[in-house]
Amino acid sequence: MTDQIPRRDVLWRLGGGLGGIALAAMLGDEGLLAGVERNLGQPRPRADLNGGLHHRAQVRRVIQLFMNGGVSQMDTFDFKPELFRRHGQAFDPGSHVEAPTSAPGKLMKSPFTFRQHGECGRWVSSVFPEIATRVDDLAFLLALSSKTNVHGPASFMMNTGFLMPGFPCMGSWLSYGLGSLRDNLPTFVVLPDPKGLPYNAKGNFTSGFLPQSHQGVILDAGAARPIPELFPPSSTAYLTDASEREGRAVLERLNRRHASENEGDSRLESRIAAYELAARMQQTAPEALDLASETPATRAIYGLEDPATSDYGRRCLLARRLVERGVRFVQVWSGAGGAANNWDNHNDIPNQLPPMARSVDRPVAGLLCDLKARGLMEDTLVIFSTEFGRQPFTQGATGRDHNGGTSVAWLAGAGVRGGVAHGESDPWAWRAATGQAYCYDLHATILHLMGIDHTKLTFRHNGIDRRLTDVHGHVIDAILA
Amino acid sequence: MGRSPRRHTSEWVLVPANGGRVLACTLVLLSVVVVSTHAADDPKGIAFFENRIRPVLVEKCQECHSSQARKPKGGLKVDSRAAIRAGGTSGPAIVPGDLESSLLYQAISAADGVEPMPPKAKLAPSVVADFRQWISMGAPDPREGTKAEAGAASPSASSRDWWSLKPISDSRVPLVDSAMTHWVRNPIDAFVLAGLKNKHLNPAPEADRRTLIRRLSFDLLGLPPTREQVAQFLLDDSPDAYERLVDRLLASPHYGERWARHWMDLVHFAETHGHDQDRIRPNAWPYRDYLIDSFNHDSPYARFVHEQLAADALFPGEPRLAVAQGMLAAGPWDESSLRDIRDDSIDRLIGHYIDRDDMVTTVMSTFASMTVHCARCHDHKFDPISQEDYYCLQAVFAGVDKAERGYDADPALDQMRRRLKHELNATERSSPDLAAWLKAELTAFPPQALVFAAASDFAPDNSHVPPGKPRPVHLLKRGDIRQPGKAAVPGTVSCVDDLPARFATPGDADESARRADLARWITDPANPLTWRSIVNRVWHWHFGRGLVATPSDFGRMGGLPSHPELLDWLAKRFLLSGGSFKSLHRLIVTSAVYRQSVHHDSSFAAIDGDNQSLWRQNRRRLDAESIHDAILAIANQLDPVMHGPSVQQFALRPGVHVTPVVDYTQYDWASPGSRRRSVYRFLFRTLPDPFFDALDSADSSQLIAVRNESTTPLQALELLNNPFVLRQCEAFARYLERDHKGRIDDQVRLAIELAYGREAAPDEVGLLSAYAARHGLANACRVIVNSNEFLYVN
Repeated sequence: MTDQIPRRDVLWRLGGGLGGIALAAMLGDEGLLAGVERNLGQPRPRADLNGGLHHRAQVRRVIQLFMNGGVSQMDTFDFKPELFRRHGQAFDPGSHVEAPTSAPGKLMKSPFTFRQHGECGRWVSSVFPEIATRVDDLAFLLALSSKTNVHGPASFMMNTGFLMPGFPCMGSWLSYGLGSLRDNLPTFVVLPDPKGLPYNAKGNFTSGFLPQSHQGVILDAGAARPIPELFPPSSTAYLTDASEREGRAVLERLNRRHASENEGDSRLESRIAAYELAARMQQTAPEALDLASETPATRAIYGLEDPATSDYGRRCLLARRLVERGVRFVQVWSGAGGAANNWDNHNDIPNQLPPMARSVDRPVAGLLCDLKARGLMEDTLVIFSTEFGRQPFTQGATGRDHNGGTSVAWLAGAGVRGGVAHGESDPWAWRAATGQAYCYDLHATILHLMGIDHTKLTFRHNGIDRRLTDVHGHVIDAILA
Repeated sequence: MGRSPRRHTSEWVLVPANGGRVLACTLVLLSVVVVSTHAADDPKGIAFFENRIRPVLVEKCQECHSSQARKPKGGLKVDSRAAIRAGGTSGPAIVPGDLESSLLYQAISAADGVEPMPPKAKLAPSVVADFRQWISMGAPDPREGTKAEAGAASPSASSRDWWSLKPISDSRVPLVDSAMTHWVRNPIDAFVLAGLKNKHLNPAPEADRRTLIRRLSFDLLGLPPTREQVAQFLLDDSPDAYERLVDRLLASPHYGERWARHWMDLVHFAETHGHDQDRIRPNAWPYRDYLIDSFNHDSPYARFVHEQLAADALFPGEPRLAVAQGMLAAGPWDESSLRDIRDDSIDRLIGHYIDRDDMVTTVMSTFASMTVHCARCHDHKFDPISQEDYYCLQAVFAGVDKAERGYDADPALDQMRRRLKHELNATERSSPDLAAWLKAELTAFPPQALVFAAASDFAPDNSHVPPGKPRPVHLLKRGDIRQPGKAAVPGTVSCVDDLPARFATPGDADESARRADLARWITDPANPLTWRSIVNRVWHWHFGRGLVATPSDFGRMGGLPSHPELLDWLAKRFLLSGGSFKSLHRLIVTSAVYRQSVHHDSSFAAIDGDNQSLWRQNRRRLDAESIHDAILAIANQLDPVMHGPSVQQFALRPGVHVTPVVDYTQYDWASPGSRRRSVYRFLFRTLPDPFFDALDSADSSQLIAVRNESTTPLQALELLNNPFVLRQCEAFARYLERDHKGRIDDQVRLAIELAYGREAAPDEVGLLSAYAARHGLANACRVIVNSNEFLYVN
């Protein structure tokens, strides 16, 4: 028995171990899960639309890079000469100024130097030297607003379109609308920062009122057991390879016997299929999560060898492996909820922002480069976003408070026009000035790229046909190829 | 009654113009639409209007052309049948059967010489075509009333002409054919039989006794029957053996544990705040115990409602009932917005509106099956609920916050403490010596018990301070905090006839009077929503589907009753019984309808595949809690301790911020409390237990009227590999081995009997015994608890 214990722990690295899988007759991709999960009335992707629901899909899979805490827009991508000119002056834009957690201070220029990059001439600050080299592939939203200045509601809003808990996030909507690309891995995977879950914890990955099966599966990439229940804990001595294999066969026989005595109930068959799928997931997941087969060169472009970037780099690389293997939507979080070690730089922009930026800069650039090199960009979308921006004036000496007025996000990949920007904030990056967008518009655009009319992907809940975009949202044509 | 039933297959999809809303009945498989008709209009036409025309009028026209528009443009209103036909200054908008003269049609089809409408965005050709068809059909339109009165609070009579708002009728129990009288056990059966007869269906035979006791036991207690209970029932040949079994089960304290959990779903009870600062509420559990006790004591429903909404106002002599108001605080609370950010910020104000929205939505969904939350930004688009109604409901809760509050369960102590506090307030300025003495006296009092509940008085925590008096509530135009309209007075929806929509409580009265007014409005015998709502919920929990399939939405977007007369009969009877849950359960589970087998009949399934007419009982998958508790029960491991602080079945350590790190994999399953019923486990809002989560337990960010039922690979993996399951399988094996030393066949037989509630068949015994002989009995137990027969109830 004892030799089983280490074996089960290394399953993760060896690619699953429940060899045999006698009963899993290697079911066809994109088939079985549909049979298990799809309900009457649930949308069905159409092959003639490249898997879209309402029009041809350009994007089949998505990686969202979510910067938790509120990235300071005027210190990264939203260059504001006016702040340099008026540095240290009182802020008087002509209307009421308030900050949610502090008294507004004086205007503060960015402590970082800005330079134009790429053929498009995009301004990027010195905190993102690597991402700056990719700007010709990126489409920026420079006036992305929120309806709140508080992390909890703002994170809900960016993920679910609503300020309150209880609504499905975008990944769940995509899972509900489009289903999986492959049966042997989850459809929607979340890779949280190992330092901790973001604000709202799992509330950001929830399926809300959609069936629970559309919820994000959290992979703790650094843990010995990334999906805790994928295999039994090694401490369970009575389980062996053989007991597992035979047990599944016995279970199937009992279930078949029961189903034959209880005709006319497809749920009983679905459950038999679910156990077969579980066995397939056990085979596939460890290989997908194992980075050992990646070449040193690949590892290097993600920054795996540098302690400052190795964590986010590993998760970006994992995200690529997952989408490559058919996961539909992967969210890679940077920053845990809380007061430090994230993008919520209330106290000290000059010293708190650079290490955060550094931790993602190379990994993100590496991911973009790798996806492109492998041809995955042909049908993959990458989104870089945060829950809100920050104030143009100081909090304390050199910090910035939350600001729902404007923030920056960018998109790259299939269907996206590189090198463009949509919207502009006011001279202080305080509020949106032109081309204001909300999460609704961002979500509508992402859904559009995936072949979904955001007004038509609905689910009846408590008296309302709910949408990811509530009653809002316009596809942002300006950033589409 | 002028109602005619009409069947609809699913997925009527209306695709309005320009990315307007989509009306899609996504998951309603098959619904019977009962529409109230205008005398001349046939139901088909009305359905066409309701599905294709009304939503467009509401969405696209009424903002400028309705009695609620400040100045209807061109004098045209389209919100009643009379008004749309009368038209505006240019002439009639709709002339039935005459497209040429129907100016509305000319405008939307952008005909020459007519100003195109809507002005900004044209309607899609398919929508214009719908209007063309509708006018050609004679423009059927059920909306009565000539002119809808000005003022949002008075919806037109037509909009109130909806089944759930009509008074509860005195349903006559249908006569039963002599051939079927033997089958009928109580009036429920007569109602259901009448429906079956209409569809040429017959009821299924009664289930056998083993099936019945397993079904009843899970249904009423959430636990499998014990061997002794099964044996006793099988041997009881008295004619009322079944009824006495029901009584025994209803008398079990496990009944309250089971049914409290249903209620916890409805009110989204959890023991942390949720949001980004998901702080633990150490004293939320008394509300859970309150629910368990209320069900076990068969608290009359009206009383149950009153206690949860306004115990402080209505039962001042029973201060222990402070815990009942845990209902209003059961949902999430945004600590950042309501405690930590600046209290003069706009985000604080938004926080208060959103928090009251949670209370309003919880109360009105739970008790009245109304979707008032849809009227937050505008009048309800489908139901007669105005935006003003909605904000009047917010005003009801403007004087309370979710907070940890102290209370004295002992009335004498409560009285004394109140009196001293009152004196202290009065003398603090005038007589410092007396005040000092009073303070000293007060500190000598025994400490108060604590509960997390809706409270007007509580110890301040940062800037989370008692409101003092009700906070002002304004109508928010488009739900926008920056566009406040007029102040809202306490009140409720205006669409229930004969009941006041605005409360007469003076503005300076104690805030609790507002909640008491709402509680009395809800429980008024003339409120048709309340009584229908609760009996439908109980029916849903017994059959897996309500007579109305959307138990928290009795509006136009919800389902229609499959058996309207039965629903009303049950509602009346429940009301007349004094609101006794136990007598309602008894009535339902002793019916022949309930006692049917789940037997499948393919010819009946072809007629009514959803079993709406109840030609058999529904097979049901055990819910997450029942699976958990049943595993403990069959393994003889269930710890029956009731009540008290919740068991934290996870390892807890500080997080980077307020929300702690919650690790379910590191829980020690040998610790005390680890074998208690799942209703006593601690419920973490944003970090739910993955085992329960995978098995579709309630998401405490949601008001759950109907749980989803999913079947997924991750669910299979949880049931196979969760440490709780693995540990209990070992315990189960040990229990079997203790009773039947060394005889694997007998051990397996016992396992099957305990898990499935029936005797084992030889082939099963052979299969499992051989497996157990090779790999140990615990492995066989693991297979059994993963098998469908264990997880489903026939």
